Amino acid sequence: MALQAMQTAPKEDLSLVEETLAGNQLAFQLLVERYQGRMFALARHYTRNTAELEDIVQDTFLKAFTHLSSFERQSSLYTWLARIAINTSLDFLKRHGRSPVQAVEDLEVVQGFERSRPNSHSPAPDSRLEREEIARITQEVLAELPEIFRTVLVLREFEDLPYQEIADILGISIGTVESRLFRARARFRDKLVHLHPEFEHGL
Amino acid sequence: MTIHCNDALPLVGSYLDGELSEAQAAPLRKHLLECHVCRNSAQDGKTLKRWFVRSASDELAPRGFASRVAQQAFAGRRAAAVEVEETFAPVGEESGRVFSFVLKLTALAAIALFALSLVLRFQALPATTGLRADQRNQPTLEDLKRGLEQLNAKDDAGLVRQVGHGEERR
Repeated sequence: MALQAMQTAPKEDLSLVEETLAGNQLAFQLLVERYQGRMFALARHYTRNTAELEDIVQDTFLKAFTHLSSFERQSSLYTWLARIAINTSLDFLKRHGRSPVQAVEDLEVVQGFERSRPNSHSPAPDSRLEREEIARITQEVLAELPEIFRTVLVLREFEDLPYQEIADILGISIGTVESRLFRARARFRDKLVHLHPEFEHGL
Repeated sequence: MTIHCNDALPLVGSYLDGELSEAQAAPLRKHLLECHVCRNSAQDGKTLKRWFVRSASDELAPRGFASRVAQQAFAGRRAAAVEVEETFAPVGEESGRVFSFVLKLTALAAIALFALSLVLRFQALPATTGLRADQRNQPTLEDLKRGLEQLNAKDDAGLVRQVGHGEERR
């Protein structure tokens, strides 16, 4: 079933691309609906501000729309969109003169996390809160990593992409993907333990 | 085939990601069974992967996001098309009159310039009367000869008169 979905998805993508190019607005809307979740998840690793995040993803799709005719039908639409999203995220941060480390956090989100952060005397958090806490710490650590390590980790660990696709998105060789991932994981672990020594003996 | 720790450690991540071929994975598996240092490293790698799985959060797009983006994209395309049309055609009544006036003025100026250039051209040409090769009233040789004789006769008469006056003075 999953295999069937994987085989038919590109066809659907292609037909939506063709329909969009022919001037069908609904086709483009369906295309955005299909990939918006993954684009939001991807861009989330570059900013934690909700308004900025929406701007980045919106820009990503508008750029994709403008250059849709240059999309090479042989490659995956997700790979193409992911490349645009990463570049848009990095451009956005550069334009605003800050690294992802300095990205402004959405106050409501931060307060939500602060409220959900467990202290040593509190009872064990439920799984959802624990998940949110782990996600917050992960973002904190990722933001401390150099961009080349952060991006490769995000694409592998969160987007679950094969090395070949990561190589295509970043325009590097598979060997470079391997070595970057190796160093990125080591850096992530070191940084995590440095910022949160409580995780030193088991994550 | 056996491998050593230095070769095995960099492969552990790729092995856990399922990116190694069986030919690469088999000796690594054998090494992991024999070497507890590399085995611990593989265990750390698995733990880190689990950490990432636990930290993945579902990201929901805001309600109506896709529809808004599609609308904006197509509005941009329409705006670009209108802009192009506006460049070449007036849209308002007022601007239509101005455009028509400018168009007429330009046409008149073009006609005036053309006429002026024709006048200047004809003025600059040399007078060609009598120089045309196909002229019908060309003097014949006889005419020229007669004219020459008349001139000679006049000159002879003049000379005779001059001689006559000289003799009278003497």
